[in-house]
Amino acid sequence: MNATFALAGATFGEAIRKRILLVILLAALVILLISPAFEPFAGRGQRTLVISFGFGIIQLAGTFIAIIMCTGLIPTEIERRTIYTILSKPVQRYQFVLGKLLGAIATLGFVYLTMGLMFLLITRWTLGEFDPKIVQGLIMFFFQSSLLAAVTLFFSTFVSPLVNYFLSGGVFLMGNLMSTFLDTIQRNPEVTPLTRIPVQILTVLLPNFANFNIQNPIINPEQVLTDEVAYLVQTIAYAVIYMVLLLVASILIFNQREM
Amino acid sequence: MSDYAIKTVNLTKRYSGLWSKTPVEAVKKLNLEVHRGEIFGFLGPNGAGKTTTIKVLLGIIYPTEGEAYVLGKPAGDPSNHYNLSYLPENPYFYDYMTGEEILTFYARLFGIPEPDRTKRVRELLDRVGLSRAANQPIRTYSKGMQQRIGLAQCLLNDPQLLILDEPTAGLDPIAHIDIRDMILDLRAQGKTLFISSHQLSDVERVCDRVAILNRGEMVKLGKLEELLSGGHVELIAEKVNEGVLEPIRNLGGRASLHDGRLIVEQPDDGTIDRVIDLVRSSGGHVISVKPYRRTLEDLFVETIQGGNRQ
Amino acid sequence: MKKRSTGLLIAVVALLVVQAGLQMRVFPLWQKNYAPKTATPVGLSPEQLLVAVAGFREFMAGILWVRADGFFDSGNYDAVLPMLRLVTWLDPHNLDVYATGAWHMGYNFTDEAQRSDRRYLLPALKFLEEGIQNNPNVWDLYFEMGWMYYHKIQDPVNAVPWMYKANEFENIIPARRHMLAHALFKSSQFDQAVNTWGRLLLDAEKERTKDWESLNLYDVRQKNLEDTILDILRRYGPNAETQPPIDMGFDAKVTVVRPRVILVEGTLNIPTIGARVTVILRNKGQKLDYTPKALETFTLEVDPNLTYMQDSLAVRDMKFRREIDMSKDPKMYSFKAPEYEVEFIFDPRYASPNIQDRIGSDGVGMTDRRYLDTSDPSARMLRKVVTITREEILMLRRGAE
Ligand SMILES: Nc1ncnc2c1ncn2[C@@H]1O[C@H](COP(=O)(O)OP(=O)(O)OP(=O)(O)O)[C@@H](O)[C@H]1O
Ligand SMILES: [Mg+2]
Repeated sequence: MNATFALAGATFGEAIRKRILLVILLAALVILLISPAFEPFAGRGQRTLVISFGFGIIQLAGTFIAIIMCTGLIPTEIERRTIYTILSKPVQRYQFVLGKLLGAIATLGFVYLTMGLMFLLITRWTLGEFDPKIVQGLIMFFFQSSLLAAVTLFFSTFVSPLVNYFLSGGVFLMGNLMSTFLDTIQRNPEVTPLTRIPVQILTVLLPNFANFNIQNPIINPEQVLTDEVAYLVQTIAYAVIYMVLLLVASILIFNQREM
Repeated sequence: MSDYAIKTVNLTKRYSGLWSKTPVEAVKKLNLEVHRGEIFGFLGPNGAGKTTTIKVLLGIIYPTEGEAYVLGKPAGDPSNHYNLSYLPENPYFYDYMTGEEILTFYARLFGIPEPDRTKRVRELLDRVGLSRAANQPIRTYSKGMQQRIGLAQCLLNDPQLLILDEPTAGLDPIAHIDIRDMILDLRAQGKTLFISSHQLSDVERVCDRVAILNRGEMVKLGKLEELLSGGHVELIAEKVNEGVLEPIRNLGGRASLHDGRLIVEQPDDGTIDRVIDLVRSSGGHVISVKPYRRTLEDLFVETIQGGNRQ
Repeated sequence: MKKRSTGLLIAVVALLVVQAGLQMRVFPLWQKNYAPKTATPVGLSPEQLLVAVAGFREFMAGILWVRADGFFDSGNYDAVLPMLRLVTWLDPHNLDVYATGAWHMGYNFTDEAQRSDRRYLLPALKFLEEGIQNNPNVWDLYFEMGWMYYHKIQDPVNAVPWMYKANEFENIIPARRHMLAHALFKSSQFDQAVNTWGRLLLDAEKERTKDWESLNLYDVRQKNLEDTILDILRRYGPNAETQPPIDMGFDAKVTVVRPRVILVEGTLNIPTIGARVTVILRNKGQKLDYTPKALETFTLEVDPNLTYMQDSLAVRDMKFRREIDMSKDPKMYSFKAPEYEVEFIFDPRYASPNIQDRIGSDGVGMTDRRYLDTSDPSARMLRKVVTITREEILMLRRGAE
């Protein structure tokens, strides 16, 4: 376990020094900071603008950081041969993959913590209130990005980084839209089972990213929610289970892999 | 089997490219036996298959056919990795870390607990002469310093077997000597060293045995003295009679005579005494007798040219 | 030595099944509580969709709404409607868009201050209804809907159920509750109106000492209750001031003075000033039905061949007269149909209080030999309909009356 944490630590240390990730994070922080200035463009109240825009920026930055970071995690180690000194130590391949994933999650944690603090400060400052629901929303987006990181890491065990950008990006979009799409299909009586069933299967197999977006009732607090805690717990459990699934699949492929 | 630090049986590795139809056979039916406690030179030109063999031994890649054993266990067995170390060719490390941090990182991979870890890291930094640079990021290290960090990470676990891939590549002559001394020092501690190289001068003097690999096949294997035996002795004499030329040639060497000056290239098999006798008895005057031993370089070039001619 | 992978493979399959089960549990909950309630994403380009999916729905909606507002101001209504669709698709919880959008449609799609294009009333109602479906847990849009019926359509009977609905919410602005009582009164449900004032007064009494505002609210409700009871007593009690009924002598006629310009004039024998007569010009037989039942068949489209102009004429010295110019806006007045009808209405429910004191808000104190209309149970009205052909309006043939 110590080895796994050492690897996670090294991954974190390297990721937070990566220039492109820092640039994205910094840009997100700056945009968050000036977001109240966009008020004249928003037809709705300041609350809606600041919260919806803030969540949008944070989710976007989290998504890009997760994908850009994780496409490189394993291929870079192979390319510059650092992986040889690691795998020649008493480190199992699963530990290596797990370490990478934990490091990526830790990095996302750091990224979300920074952006989240900035966001809370901005909401506090412009709206004069501290809404604990914002923290909930941030946590869910953090799990969304972590799941996306696991997806990207999984692909990185067998495709090149460039292909991975599109694959992971595609899965993220699909995972955001599929279930809504399926819902529309199911309501349409004209759709034959020949179309419906494959879509249904695909929807159930793909990671569902839409579940993590709970910003809607935070922006529109008048909505009445039921089973809120159960929902949050189950969604987090879903994220963890899917991440374990991707981790095991990554290990499965990585074990066979030659470098 | 446990007498061998490394043993391979008909080890074959084919790389099958995804796009190319003909696979590259990087190692062909290799049978290697490396004894414990020896320095084994694993030699061959670029592309011979040295690194490929080492990766199989480490379990980073898997053999296509045949078997490989390391320290008595199948190659890649995780428990082996506590007792062996590997220095890749042109090693690269997380360069944002300092020398001390990277060694601590590797020590954690070995599972060395505190406070031993810190002690061991300090010790090794001292041993490879990097104590003063310990808190600089590796990014600022010279090539030689990086190679020394590489050696230090090899020694963290006090291994029984060290596998060094081109340990002197890209280093200046002084650094060569440093590393050679360290290798000798390690053998004195009873460790097995498996050193791959295509440069000869620095390992020539320290290897107990060498294997020469060409295009994936082992073309020569043996004790260094044996492989290098069979040099020649050159004799130069003056005032030599025409009459002795024939008896001397009959002893098996090559001889030439111009204006009473004789040059003989005699095999190094003790017959040189008879040549000297013959020269003396004919009233000749021996000016010099010089033995020419074969160098590893000669052997290397001879074997590989022989192999390539086939 | 390659690793055995059967175990891992089994684990992957098992986890796939587990996640699928969990996903099928979680997603319906998400849809119920967290999904943006979307209408069909018609007319949305992929990039817009992408930006929207990326989490900037509300932001995008905000930008579009600001632009839509600009189009309202410049009167570019054809551009406004699709934009409103987009805004509400992106951000279906923006009450402001629904309320303001419906208000613009219902009130501002006109060619002159008093004169309005009633075709847009249906989309306005439909738009509000959709807003209510997307935001069933806030009072605002129920109230807006009620207000639309009460004030713009002048149909207090259909306003009442919406006002009741809005009144069910705890957090409705207190003064807005009064509209229920007003709507009840106008629809001649006098008992219910008094009851409602009484209940509101009791509510206000509990909190009257809280602050100045609460005390004021109490005073207002008390005065309203007293006035309502007094009005009822004066108009319908013993020796009611509304009796005997007066003959209104109602009449009206239409003259085409130039092509697409008509002169409407008539008489109404009301002794006090401030009475107004409503005039409507529409395709013959195409009376609009705004009732909630008809709402189901509404669309947001307006029929370009339909004309539905409504104006309000002031009565002075018992006469009314107005020239209505319909030559400027062919979108509103296409004049494609062969026949049109001009309807004149006097509705006592929306008359001023001094008039109501004489004839009653339900019209009990008025009568007319020719045009008294008693079909609406909530009030007696005066109504005259004149048919006019396309040729007459366009003056293609001489001889309009
Ligand atoms: N991953 C790979 N895929 C395909 N072919 C490979 C791969 N790695 C090595 N080879 C090929 O296998 C052969 C042996 O390569 P290897 O790296 O083992 O040689 P080497 O003896 O270490 O050479 P050098 O002295 O240059 O390090 C070469 O022909 C090389 O092109
Ligand atoms: Mg090599």
